[in-house]
Amino acid sequence: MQQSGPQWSHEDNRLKDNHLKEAVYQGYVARSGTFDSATQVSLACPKEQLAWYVNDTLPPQQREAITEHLRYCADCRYEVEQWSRTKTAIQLADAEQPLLRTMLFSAIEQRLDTNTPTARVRAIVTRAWQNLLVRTRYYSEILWTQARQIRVDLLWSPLLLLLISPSLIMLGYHIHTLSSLLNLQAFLSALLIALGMAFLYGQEIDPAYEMIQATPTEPALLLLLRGSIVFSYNVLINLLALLPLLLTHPGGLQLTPQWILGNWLAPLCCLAAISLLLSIVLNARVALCVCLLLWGLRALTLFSFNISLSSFLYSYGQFWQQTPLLFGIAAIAVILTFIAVERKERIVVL
Amino acid sequence: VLIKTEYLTVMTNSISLPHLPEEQTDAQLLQRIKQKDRRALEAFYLHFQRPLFSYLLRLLGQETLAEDLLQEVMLIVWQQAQRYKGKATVSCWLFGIAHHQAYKILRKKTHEISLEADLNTLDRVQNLPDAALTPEDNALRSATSAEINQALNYLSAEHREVLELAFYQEFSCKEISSIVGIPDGTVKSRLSYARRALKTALLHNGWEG
Repeated sequence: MQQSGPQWSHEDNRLKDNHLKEAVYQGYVARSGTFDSATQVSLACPKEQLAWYVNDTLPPQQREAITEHLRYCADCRYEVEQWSRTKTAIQLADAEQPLLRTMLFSAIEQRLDTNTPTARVRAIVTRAWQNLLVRTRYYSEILWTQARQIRVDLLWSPLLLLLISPSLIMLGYHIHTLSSLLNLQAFLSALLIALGMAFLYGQEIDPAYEMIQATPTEPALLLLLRGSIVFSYNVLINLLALLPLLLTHPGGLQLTPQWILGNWLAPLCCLAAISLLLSIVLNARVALCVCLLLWGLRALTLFSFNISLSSFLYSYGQFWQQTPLLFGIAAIAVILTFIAVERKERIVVL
Repeated sequence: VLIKTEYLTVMTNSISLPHLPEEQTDAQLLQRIKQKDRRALEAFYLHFQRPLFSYLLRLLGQETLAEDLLQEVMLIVWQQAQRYKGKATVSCWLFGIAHHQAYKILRKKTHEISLEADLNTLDRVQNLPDAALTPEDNALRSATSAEINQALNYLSAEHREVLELAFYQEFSCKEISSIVGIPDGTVKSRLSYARRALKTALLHNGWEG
């Protein structure tokens, strides 16, 4: 079939875009009734432009060409009708949208006024205060929840310390044995706190563990709060245990800060931290065994029972006198514990 | 249909942008806002409040949230008017800010959005046979505004946004591309996709021709 092309008029020559010429050409094909499948395939309809034709944002030339094309292309006319309906639907839906509050600009002006440097500082302080209140409430709630879930035996076992001093006093211990008594009390209190740390988490079915699983609260936060409760409770009981001695022998005790740090607090913190680390990384049984071993050896050095010490035991005894070193080891162990608990939610099983 | 068309004509006339006096074009208003002229900001706000609110409401779906964000956008205009370099139209620049702010919120509340509804609808669009388009064509013509709004809520924010920008705000393809920050081709494909999804959502919502 011979295909005669369209005769481009002077006006048509303005349409320099080949694509638009093709669109008009397709119109010519439809008008003249001639049909060539090969030609029709090559003449693509400007489908991508039709949405923009409907929303009236095409340049005038392009728009004019598409208008011309639409006269002869039923497909594109159908497409334009679809886009027009979509446009009508969107505009109909938007027309039904609620109206704005009339006083909204006043609110904007108020916010402009509060945007001055002093107002900004005031806002920061207020926000910080509110933040502090919210956080305090949040942490106190978790603290209370954790306090309620601590094993009961961790609460009553330190109370045994309270019985030691009165018992020994009643048995008639003399004033010169008081230093030994204090050492014994410091020794036992460290062991008790270490065991408390080892058994922070309870049996196989542990309400705290269930809570960790069910809530997004960080395990490290729970560990910190629970550990703090047990540790501070034990320290308080230790201080209470000293009361009978202070009351019966007010002048006989030489409780200097150096003694408290070196003989009581440093070994206590070190042993408790080692126990906590082992209980989290391994398990409570290992922590218990290691603590008993360490403290058993120390008992040999501390209460020599008139036995001559080997050089190893002597050095070992000296080790527990190194206050800065003990605090350093305790700090490292605590840091490692918190790293471990974040990486592995390990629950110690008794 | 005729009644709805007339109603629509009345409504669209009533909500079209108010014409500003010649001496107060958008760019000139922004110039005055740069100099911290509150009256200029008020005029600017009055000029853009309705289309901007409509756009934000369409994106966020909550009236109070859209109002809050509208205030936020106006504050940004007040603080950063000097950043407007005149490369795009003022409305394009403004809607770009609104888009950015709205998506910050949308990203925050992603978990609250029912993705299931979107995916179901869009899956149906993907598998829709051509023959099924015929009754849907009638759907768009005869559905009420409430039904259309409900159907629009089934679309993802990205698809609602291009429909809104193209057919309510009447931005060109290039303008939408610069507001949303995507290539022209993506705007076109997203718009076609959104139209089909809207039709499907109308049927999905139980509309019967």
